[in-house]
Amino acid sequence: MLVLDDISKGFVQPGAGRLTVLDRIGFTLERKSTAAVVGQSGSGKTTLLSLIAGLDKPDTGEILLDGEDLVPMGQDRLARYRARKIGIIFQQFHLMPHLTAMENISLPLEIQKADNIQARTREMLGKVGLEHRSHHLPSQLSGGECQRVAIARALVVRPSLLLADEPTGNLDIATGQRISSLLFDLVRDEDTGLVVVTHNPELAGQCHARFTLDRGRLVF
Amino acid sequence: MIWLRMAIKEILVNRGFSLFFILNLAAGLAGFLAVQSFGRAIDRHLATNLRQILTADMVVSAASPLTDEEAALVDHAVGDAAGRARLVAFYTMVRPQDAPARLVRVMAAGPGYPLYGGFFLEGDAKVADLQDRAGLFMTRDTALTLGLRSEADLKSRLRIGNKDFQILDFFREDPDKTLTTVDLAPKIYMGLDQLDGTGLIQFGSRIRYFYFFSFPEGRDVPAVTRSLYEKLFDLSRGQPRVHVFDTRDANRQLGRLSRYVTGYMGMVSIVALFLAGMAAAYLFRGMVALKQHQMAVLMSCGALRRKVYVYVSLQLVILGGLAALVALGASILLLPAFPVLFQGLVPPSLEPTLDLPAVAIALGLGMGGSLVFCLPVFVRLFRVQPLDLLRSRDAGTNGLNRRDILITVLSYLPGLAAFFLIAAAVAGRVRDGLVFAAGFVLAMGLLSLAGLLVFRGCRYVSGRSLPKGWFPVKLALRSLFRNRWASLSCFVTIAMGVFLIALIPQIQNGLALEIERPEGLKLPVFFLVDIQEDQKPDLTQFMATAPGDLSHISPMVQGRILSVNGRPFFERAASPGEGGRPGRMRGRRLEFIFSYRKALADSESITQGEPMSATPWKWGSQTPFDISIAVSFAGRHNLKIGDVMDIDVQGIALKGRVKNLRKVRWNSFQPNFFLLFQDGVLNQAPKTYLGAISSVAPEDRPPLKNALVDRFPNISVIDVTKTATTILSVTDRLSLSVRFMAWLAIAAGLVSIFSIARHQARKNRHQINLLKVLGAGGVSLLAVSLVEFGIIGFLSSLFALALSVAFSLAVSSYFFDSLWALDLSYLSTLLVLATAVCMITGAGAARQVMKGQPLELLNT
Repeated sequence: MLVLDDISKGFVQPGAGRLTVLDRIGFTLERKSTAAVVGQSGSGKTTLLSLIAGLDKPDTGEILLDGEDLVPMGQDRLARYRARKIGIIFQQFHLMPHLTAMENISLPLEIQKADNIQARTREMLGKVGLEHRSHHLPSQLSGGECQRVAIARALVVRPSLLLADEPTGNLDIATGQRISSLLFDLVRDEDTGLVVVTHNPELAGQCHARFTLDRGRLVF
Repeated sequence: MIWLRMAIKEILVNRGFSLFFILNLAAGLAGFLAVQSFGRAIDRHLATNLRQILTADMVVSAASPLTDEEAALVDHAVGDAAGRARLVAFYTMVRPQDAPARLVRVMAAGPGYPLYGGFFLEGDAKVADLQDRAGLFMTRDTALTLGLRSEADLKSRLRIGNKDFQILDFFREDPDKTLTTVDLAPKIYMGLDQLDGTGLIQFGSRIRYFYFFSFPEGRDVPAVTRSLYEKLFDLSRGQPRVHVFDTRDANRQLGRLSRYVTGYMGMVSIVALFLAGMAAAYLFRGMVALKQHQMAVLMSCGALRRKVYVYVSLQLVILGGLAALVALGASILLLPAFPVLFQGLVPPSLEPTLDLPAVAIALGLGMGGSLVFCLPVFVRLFRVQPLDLLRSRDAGTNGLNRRDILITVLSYLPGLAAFFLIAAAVAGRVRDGLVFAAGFVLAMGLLSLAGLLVFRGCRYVSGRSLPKGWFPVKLALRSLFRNRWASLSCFVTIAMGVFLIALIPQIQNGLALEIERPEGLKLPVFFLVDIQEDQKPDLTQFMATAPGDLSHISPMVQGRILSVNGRPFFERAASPGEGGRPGRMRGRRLEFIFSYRKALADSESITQGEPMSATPWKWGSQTPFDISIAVSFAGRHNLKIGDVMDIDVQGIALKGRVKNLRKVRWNSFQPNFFLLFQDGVLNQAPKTYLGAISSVAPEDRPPLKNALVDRFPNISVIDVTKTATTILSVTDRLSLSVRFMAWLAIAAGLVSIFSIARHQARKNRHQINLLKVLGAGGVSLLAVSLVEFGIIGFLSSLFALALSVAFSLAVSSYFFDSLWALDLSYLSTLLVLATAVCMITGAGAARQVMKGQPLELLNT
């Protein structure tokens, strides 16, 4: 279960004083459920995602995932925690350019020194339908295929929570639809929660919950 | 293990980048290895020649046999000497049966002498030992000088002291090649056991006892010499009677040259090494740009930060190690081919080889050094945050806070410390290392300042209204000042490269001038010794019709320097020693030969002070007469202009003042003197003359020598061509080698500059792409690149060259006794080459962009 309690985050801007990006945000996401965070550009969606991912720290408040508070964790502990519990999908895929599709997917498992790396990777590769592209480098894959690799990489560690930042933002409509379907199917199959940041109403519509951010505040 | 696998995998996938990185670093390292190996070969070559001249590694000499205490000290100091020999030398008159008596230098050699070289007799036989052979050995020239010409003469007996000797055989050349004006007397050799019965070894005889030592390879002979001399000095309570000297004293000038060449080699090595490091660091910047993104991705996947640093470091170490291996492989293949590839340029006897320290340094520099040199770039990775992946900006491009700035500044310290340590190790002194490191930081600071001024100027010019067709210039200027930090780093790196390269030719030029044989000066063939006053006119007249030129007849008067500025001469030290203690002078003499001449010889020039008065000094005058001192002598005895010297010439006390310091082209082999007095001082003193005859064809030499001996029986005719040839062949080779090393450093430097310019040009590709997409034509794109890189290349090189002139002057005065000469043609060539390299690489990048498809370009 993910619990955000009274989260605030601001930045000091030179000449403009302190800018509050998130203002006392709070919500709960049940295990295995999905949520969309929507809002206009600059509303604080990405900042919120980075806080949930443990990539940044809030100024105030608590972020609990499966009962553990991320906020007081140090960098190393957060990295280990992220490796086990959180998968992230980026809008720009962010694959390692010198690793093949299969190697990119197995990367988090290698970092964790997990067991059965080969089998788990192949299984995930099959789930995203890329068995025939397993030895291709990212530069040899299409945008949709790259995003499938990114989804597989995020899910291969069986995280408690999957975070996706505009997962279809860099894809055409048809590919985007296929990718979003795949994403939700996999989330369901893998028993994981999902928080997706998106402008895409169709994608947001597929989620159990929808949170709208407006100038740093949640609007219900 | 995953990190090692990833590192190797990435190196393999990015073959192009990895290969370029490896080849560039390898080129720099190979340059460093070549200079090191070449320099060591020169050092060996010179050491071998100096050994041959001295016939030993170290010599101990005294006017009487060593006391038990002294001998014990010597035994303790030399320890496991590989060879030992003794020689007793003295001057005496020798009387052939039917010829007048002549002054000769008797060399009574003990077993083992000479330790290097040998007695090569006519007919190619080699005599290992002169012992137990009742008779004399000499060269044919010496026999001729003694008036022994016919076969009958040669079989006649010579009386030395109370004993008659017969000549047993003739050497092809004298094994002892030391040459000083005071030693100019024909030498005859005998076994040490033959001295018995001559009656010459007795109290009051002017005899010198020499003890020769050779050491196993690798022994630090100068350290043994220094330590032994100091112990003997302490034993003598400041009145040294025992001299200790090594190969560098065998021929003072060659010894000095050897010191210069070693220092020069060290400097070239440091420059080559630093150029390699600089190029590696610059190339690593490209790698880091890629790494910042990958690191963020890895961290977002849960990788620990320190593991990611290990991963990047591993890559750097692997690349550096591979570069070192490539450099070593290239050196192993190329070094033995040097004498063949560069026939005529490199002395054929030089055998540059790789030794273990060079291999260790190359591997250390390649693997560890690249980490140290790349640290300022590496620390950028500390700023990488996975959070950046969610933002539109590139990972690691966050603004700098104070901590980041501090870390960046601190990251330069290990590189500087490494530079300082290497410089100190190469130069052999901590102070020299500090001078190098401080000079480097100062140069970097000044060039950064110059770069900032240049970009400010770019801003100013681009703001002015320029003609329409000047659009590329305007764009290039804007690009330079808007990206001023990137431009500045490129500017400073190229400038530092050019600065370092330019230092070498200027030092080399000064050094070459010192080494090269003077053009236009005629090398002497014969020295004529003991010319009497009344023989001068006859000799001049005789030589007017003989083949050859009597180029100089210089008066020689023996005397003593009593004091300088009222302080006894023997008490004065050349320079204060460590901790302010007076230094312990080696081989200090009180007796010298003085001379005078109305005008300086062609081989001399005043470096400091005024010319001596042309008006003859008047006897009885209260004004001290003028003295001209050779620079080397002044340096050795700590003498300066204005010093008042009390001189004793055959019992008469005289007072003179140092008027000027005079540089003597020692390798002109003209009769030169340490001290020249004003005209009028020595004119009436009892003296002999030293003459030099030059321009004698080889076939005319024997008849001329015979004619001279016939006509002037008391004059000794010394053939100096052998000695001059031996020394000049060494210096000629040194001269070539010094020039060759300079070109090696320049070549390595230009490769580094090419890498830096290429990297910068590739970085500019995105900007050029955009211009193309926006409709800029090929010519305009080319012009923008040419102007941008032309400005960086030309102005950075110009500032660097100007700075290098000042620095090289300082370096030469600090390390090389002011051997410096401005060589405008070298500097202009370097300016053109560096600018051309920058412009061509910039133009190359623009051409690549122009060849690509617009869509493809947009995707980059």
